[in-house]
Amino acid sequence: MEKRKIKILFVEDESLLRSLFSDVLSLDTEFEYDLSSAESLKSGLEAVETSKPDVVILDMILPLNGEKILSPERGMTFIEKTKSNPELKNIPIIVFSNLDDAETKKRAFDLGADSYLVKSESLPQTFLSTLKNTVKKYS
Amino acid sequence: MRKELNDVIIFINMENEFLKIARHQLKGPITIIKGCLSFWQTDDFQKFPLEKQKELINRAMAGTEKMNVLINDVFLALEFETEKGISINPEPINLKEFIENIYNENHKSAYEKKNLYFKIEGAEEPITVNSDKHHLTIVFQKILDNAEKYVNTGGTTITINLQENTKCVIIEIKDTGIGMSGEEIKVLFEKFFHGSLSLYNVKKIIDSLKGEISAESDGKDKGTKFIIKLPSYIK
Repeated sequence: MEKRKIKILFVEDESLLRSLFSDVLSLDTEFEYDLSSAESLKSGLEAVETSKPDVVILDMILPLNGEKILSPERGMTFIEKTKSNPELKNIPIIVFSNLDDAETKKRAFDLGADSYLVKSESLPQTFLSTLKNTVKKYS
Repeated sequence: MRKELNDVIIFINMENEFLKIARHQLKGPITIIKGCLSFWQTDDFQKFPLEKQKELINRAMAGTEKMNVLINDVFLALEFETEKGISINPEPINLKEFIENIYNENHKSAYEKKNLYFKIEGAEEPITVNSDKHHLTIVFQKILDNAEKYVNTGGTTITINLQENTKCVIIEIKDTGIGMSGEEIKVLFEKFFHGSLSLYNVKKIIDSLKGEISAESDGKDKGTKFIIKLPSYIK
């Protein structure tokens, strides 16, 4: 039987991390994954609109003009704009960030994020099971 | 009194912000190292082809190196904040030999792997500075690392030009890499530019050595030039 194909948009500027998680996806026997990526807020918003993925993995800290400030605002904007767009609001967003303070997590959930994983505490396998559970919940 | 109190509050807030960013940045390589190692723990490692297994090991190693650089950078940046600052031990340094040694010991193999060329121009007569070897080594290591990192195609050359006038020694480091926008140049030497403290520390070292550093670029994909001025050696 052919495996279901899941389209993932990874909004993340760290290439080593993108490679690591694409490796864990390659081990999954249940689904097939089509992984695309964007490295900034602007390209992320464009990509979610054009590719309409099944799920978005979002880092909260995204660079702008080389400047990488430690603020979750660009990530928050991504969630807010996606979730307020009637065509995109049903795309689940899994936040994947090393910002682990309660306030950031609460704001992300209030704006419509579906899960929040802290990078340094999440093994690739945890990431995969959260991803699969989220996809199943929305299918 | 109120002003002094305000200064203290501003300083404490700044430090908190610095530590908050440092903590966050250190977690980046931890995620990579932990993630790569977890494949062994779960036996998933065996499921990857040999080439991929090697790649995972290399990635974990790159993560440890990134962490090492970051830890050194954080502690160096904190040293600048202390009243004493960094400790400077000046001694005469023949610049051309000094930079050649740094390149040969630390960068040659990485440059060759990327098919990058390196050359030193100028200094027909030996140019000497009276400076601190330890910290000047950090400066050139970081500048040469930076050039390697931001050159996106092979076959290009990183050139160091050494000149001296009556007042100072001028060191120009030019690459043909991805270049920078005017906006980026403005914040280049700020803390955590591109998530790193490297260029911030380079600037602070050069300041401590009573020199100057600036950067120029004609824009994206047009390369970058760093210009360092150090006081001339007075015998």
